[in-house]
Amino acid sequence: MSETRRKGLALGFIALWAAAALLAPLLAPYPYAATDLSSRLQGPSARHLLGTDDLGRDVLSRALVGGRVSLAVTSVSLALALVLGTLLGLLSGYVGGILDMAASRLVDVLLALPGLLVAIALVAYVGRGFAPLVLALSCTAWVGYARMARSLALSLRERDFVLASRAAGAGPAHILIRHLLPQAAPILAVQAAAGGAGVLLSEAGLSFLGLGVQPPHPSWGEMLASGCDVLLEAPHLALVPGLLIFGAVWALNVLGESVPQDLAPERSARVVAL
Amino acid sequence: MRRYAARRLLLFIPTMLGLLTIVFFLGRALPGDPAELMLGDNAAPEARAALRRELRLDEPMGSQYVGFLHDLLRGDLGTSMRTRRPVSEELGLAFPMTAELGGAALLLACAAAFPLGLISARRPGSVADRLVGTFTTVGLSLPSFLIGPLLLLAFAVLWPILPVSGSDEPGSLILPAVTLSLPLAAVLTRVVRASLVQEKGRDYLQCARMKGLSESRVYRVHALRNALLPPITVLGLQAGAVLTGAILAERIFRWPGMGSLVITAIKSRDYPVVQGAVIVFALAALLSSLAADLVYAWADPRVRYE
Repeated sequence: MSETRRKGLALGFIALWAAAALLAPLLAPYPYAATDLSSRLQGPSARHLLGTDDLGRDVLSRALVGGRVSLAVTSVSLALALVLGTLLGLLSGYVGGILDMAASRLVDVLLALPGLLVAIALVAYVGRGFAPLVLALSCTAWVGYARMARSLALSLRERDFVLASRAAGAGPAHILIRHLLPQAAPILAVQAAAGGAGVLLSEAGLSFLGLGVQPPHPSWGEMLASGCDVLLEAPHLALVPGLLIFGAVWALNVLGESVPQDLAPERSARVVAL
Repeated sequence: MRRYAARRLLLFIPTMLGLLTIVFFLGRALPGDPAELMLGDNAAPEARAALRRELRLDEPMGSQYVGFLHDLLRGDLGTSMRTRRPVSEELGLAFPMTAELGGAALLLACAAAFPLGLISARRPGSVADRLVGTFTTVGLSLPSFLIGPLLLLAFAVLWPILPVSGSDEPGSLILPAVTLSLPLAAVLTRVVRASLVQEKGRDYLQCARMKGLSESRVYRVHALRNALLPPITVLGLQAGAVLTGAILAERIFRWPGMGSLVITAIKSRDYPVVQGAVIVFALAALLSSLAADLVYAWADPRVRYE
């Protein structure tokens, strides 16, 4: 497949995903939590286009609403991680001193640990649901941005335009927001584009373990896990969310790779799926 | 070498201390009274008071912290709220199962990655290289919780020769280990290939060829040793992630390890077990990156004199 076709396909998937997420309540043929025990574990049919799950719930409706959850959680967590990581990184790089030391130690420890472990630990203590999930994912993802922002701040703060601004009497807040941030933003945005797939994978993994948004609210990971329990009787229950997760990770990976190629060729990196 | 190892070991101590401090404060930052959270709303006040004493919640923060570290040094991780057994005992049962799974996955990944990397690096662009490239692309896009169900389905329905669930039968380890190893094998193959390709035009390879060595020996022995460093780094960084990732594979194949222990503990608010498991996983991750650094220095003497 040519590079442009791949990119087009990935963009198409994400556009479809976003549209389905926005319109999920209108598109879903059934309420996502409506159980019907008389029609459990059915295969695809005209009444239920993607069949029904172990409680007789419509899989298509649940997949649509689950995609909404995955998209919302992924984008909010990524945005939060980017803002948090950037601010803390720029601040610790520019101000230095004890703040920098403490922040750097924290970043070192978190970087040495597997992301899934950090996320699981946070969910374990904070609780389960939408907000804890977002908190856990952004607390895992901010570290990379913080490290990058810090090293950018370290090199930028010696530049003449910062010195000039300081000589003109500008305070640290002004320099941080008006001078460092605009310089660092494009590089960090490239890094964030590559991070989307990783956040989505962590979201799916946590939901798969039952640590994501809570039932009856669906998510792709949770659907996959309950599909695994009845894999032999009704394989479509695991295949539908499985394919959706695969498609989303693939699309985000392709786009994440193409953004750096377009903007900063040397920073191309791929997310490792575990 | 000894001086390098000593310095690296010394660096390990503050990292571990930082980690334990984070774990400690996570436990104390719980919203509300941990004793009440663990026992539920309608517990007797005496039981709550006893638990508060057991968890040292009545003491000032500083002495709680010192007590926490002191207990850890003695190997005391507290008592499980659910089973009332020592956490160290629970972990002692579950961790070997997970370590077995993770170790098997690491070995499998190495056993696949080095030959595949060698084959594809020898003739970039060849059919073999392109096949290996397809394998790594697929392996990188498929997380373990997607490979797992596919393998399970294949081996349960299409080709029922392997046990697909539990840990009692002799072949039970195979499917979860393969599931867990595939993503790592894919990454590692890429790293081995890239690292070998970089060595390609070097003079020492020409020299080895002029000695009359076979092309495969030139690659297997001479190029590989010099190309070993990047794969070692990746292995060290990924070993901890593989162990944590085992939680997912265990869920699919009902492998009785740390996964079910941790998930049950989280759902029943069994904080001592959660804390113990987090410490064990984190320690394993830090130790594997420490081991990678030491092997790195052993394989490349230049590293020791930095």
